[in-house]
Amino acid sequence: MSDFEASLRNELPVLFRVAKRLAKSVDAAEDLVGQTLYAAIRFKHSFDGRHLRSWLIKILRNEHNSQMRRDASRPTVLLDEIEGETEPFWDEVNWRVDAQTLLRELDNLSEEHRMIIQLCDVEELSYEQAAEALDIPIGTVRSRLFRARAKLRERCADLLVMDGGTR
Amino acid sequence: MRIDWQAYLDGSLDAESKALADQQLQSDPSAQKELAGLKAFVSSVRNACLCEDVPLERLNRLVPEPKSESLRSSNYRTRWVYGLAAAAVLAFAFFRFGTQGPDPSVPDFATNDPQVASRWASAKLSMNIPALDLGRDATLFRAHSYGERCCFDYKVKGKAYHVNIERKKDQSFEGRSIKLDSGTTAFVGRGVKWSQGAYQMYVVGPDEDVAIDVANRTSSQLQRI
Repeated sequence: MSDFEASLRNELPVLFRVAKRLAKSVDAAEDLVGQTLYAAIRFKHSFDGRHLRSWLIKILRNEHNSQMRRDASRPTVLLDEIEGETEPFWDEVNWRVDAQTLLRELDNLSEEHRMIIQLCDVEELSYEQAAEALDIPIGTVRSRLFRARAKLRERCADLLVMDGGTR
Repeated sequence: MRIDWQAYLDGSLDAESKALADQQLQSDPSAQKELAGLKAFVSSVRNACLCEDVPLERLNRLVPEPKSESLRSSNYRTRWVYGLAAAAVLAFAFFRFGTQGPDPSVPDFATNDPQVASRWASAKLSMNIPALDLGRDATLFRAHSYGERCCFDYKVKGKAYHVNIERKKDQSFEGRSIKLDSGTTAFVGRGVKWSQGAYQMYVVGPDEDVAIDVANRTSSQLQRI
């Protein structure tokens, strides 16, 4: 097994989780990982040897976007530009929301918000690595992450209120 | 002044704001509570996501085998022969297909038509690649290439299976040997590999039994030419 292939195998769990966050189903995520691996082998020569994870996630996103374009054109909304500032109060919600609910609400966020939370909070990529993977400036990573967390918190807080705080 | 606790947690506050936040944390219980709430939130999200099942065994089967270098090391004369053969097939392809189908320089494209994929791959590999119609329950959705291989992606039972095709090489295969329906011997290990006629084939996908089924269908199609 080559070093490159071994490195690819190490990244499989991360790639799958990111793919699932993007594609929202296990089958579609597996397909997306498969396409990504093929593309990674094909474009191996273009890898600069720095952040393999960011590079692979970038390929995965491109594959996903190509797939989306093939399936149907979809309006793109630049959330960072249209959403207002929110001032979350993190102590409002006592985190008793179960994992299933969190995952469901996470999947209900926009693609941009799902991805930034997955990359920064779950896979713990640095702002620089996330910026490289998403092809956006570091400043945008930061603001998008903060908005995404606030949005998710808001959704979970709404659930607790709706449930009468019984969860 | 309201502290941005997310920026504090992520270490992106400037020195002055951070000093202010540290000071507030020492004396203000509500600030401590808010930061603790944020940490708990991020940690809950992370734990929830990391607890999701990862089908590692199936994913490992998707890692394509790196391309063999054997053709590249062939000698000068052999390269000449291949070059002449390539030119002949290209001329034939142009005469036969004209400008139909994607340009061979296109690295990948979406198609449901095995004939279109076949024309593109024939021009790409400079050899006759048959149209691989694997049946109604195996839908072609994409064709792509890497190195000297062309790959057709089929959706079978809701998952993607990759049928790789390239020029036959002097290469032995590893893995468990099986007989395909066409009578050809194939080897099952990481995917299903076999040589048939002028072709070297490699089918890979998440489920081994389905990959063998796809290999069987492919081999039967190849036998018809």
